[in-house]
Amino acid sequence: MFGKIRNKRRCGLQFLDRQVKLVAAAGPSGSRIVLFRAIPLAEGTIKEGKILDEEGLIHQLSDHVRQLSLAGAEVSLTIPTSSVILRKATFPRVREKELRNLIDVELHSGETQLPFRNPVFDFVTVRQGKEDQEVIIFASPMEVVEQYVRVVRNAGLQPVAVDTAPLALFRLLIRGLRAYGQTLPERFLLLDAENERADISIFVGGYPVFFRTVQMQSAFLPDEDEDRNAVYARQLSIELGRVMNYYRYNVASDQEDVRQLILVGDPSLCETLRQNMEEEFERILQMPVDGALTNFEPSHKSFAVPIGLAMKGA
Amino acid sequence: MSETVVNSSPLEINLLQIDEELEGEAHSPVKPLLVLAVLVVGVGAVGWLWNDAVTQSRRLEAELARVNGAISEREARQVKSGSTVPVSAWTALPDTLRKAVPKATGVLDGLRRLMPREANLTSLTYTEDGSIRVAGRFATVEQVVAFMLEAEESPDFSEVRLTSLNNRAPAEDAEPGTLPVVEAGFELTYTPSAGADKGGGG
Repeated sequence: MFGKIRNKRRCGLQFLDRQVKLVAAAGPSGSRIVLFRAIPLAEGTIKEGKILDEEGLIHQLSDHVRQLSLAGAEVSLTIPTSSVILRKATFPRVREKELRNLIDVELHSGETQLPFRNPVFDFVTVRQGKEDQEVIIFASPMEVVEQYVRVVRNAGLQPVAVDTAPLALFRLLIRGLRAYGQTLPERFLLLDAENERADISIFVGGYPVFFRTVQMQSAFLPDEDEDRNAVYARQLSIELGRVMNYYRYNVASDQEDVRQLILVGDPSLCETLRQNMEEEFERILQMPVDGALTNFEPSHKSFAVPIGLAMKGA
Repeated sequence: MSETVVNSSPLEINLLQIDEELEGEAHSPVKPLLVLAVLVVGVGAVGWLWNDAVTQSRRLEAELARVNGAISEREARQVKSGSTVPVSAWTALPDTLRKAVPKATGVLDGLRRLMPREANLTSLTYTEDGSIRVAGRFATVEQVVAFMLEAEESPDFSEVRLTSLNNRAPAEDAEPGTLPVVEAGFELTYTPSAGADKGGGG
């Protein structure tokens, strides 16, 4: 009986280079935050998404798992967005299991070009025609997934799902907008800004079409917060310009610009970014984290990704 | 221009698919329960087989003891009765006996050839010591002597010995003209000549 009560908690875990963000949510749709914690990591534990000190990471994470009495809790986690590849493909209309086999064959045969070997993948169906169907494939190196899963398991948690940060944020965005009676923009750029990196993703028609992670050179940023944020915003603005051009001329079928921006991540960075990018976008939204939660606190804004993960499947 | 349909459902993917299956198997209560059930059934089956084997062994031991008892009893009875001749010997006994006793027709044929014309053979007895007792009626004593001589010389008989000799007058109710006879008894040994059928009893 107590096991069942404990299992109703849903945990989300986001790994960043300098910290791990952990959230436990409860309630029928995971909309009540039970606990949240940012676990700082020693420098050199993770660098640009690669785990360099696995034992150290397990040790640091397991300490907090014990402190929070989360041992054995089911958790959804992210792997670095930079290790996830998006591919859109068309296949004959077959059953899901058969489709999975087709994709598996295509990925392993090299017909779909991937920059790594031994991919693990999942997919979502975008369109189903009478004879064919269009899918978006999310693929990642097996070693990366296995390493993160191993860390989580050895830290005392029970990994049940591996997701990507943009899809976790998309889940939270849908909940938040729905709470305010708003609809999802047809085309938008989702910017998850953290000090050490920024995840840029573009969604069209409710499906992701582009992922990119930009590593921010924090060592070269000024010490003062305001200056630091301003430099960060300028750097990112340049990178966003490149991404928008790439999207317009290489990805978008209609060569339309993305005119809506949704900001999420470090609140102080988000505010600076909003001020810097007002001219580049018609509409800039902050992630409506408050609408998605029943016990919202301002500090929850920094935990949007793990909150979205904790809502997975709810 | 048609309005674009925007997906407003969360996109659920899980890159832990392989591990998830393994995890599901590892954490599934079905597997340990199945193992436990197999173990219980296995132990039960082994126990049942063991018990059955023990019961059957005991039954067979009891049966073996009973059979051994019966054998011992019969052996004791056999020893008590003094007969230790095997059954095969019993089955061969008639042939042995048949061969041990001379053929009656051979003996009679041999005697008939030796008897004088006016003599009658009245009895022939084969004794356990192998000799033959012969009784006959002769017309005269000379005929008795002649028979004995013939028998002595015969290759079929030997050790001829006269055991009795009596004159016998005719009975009172006998027909007129009936002559007295000499009743003589002999003991002799039948030694059939080569080629003659020795066995056959008679």
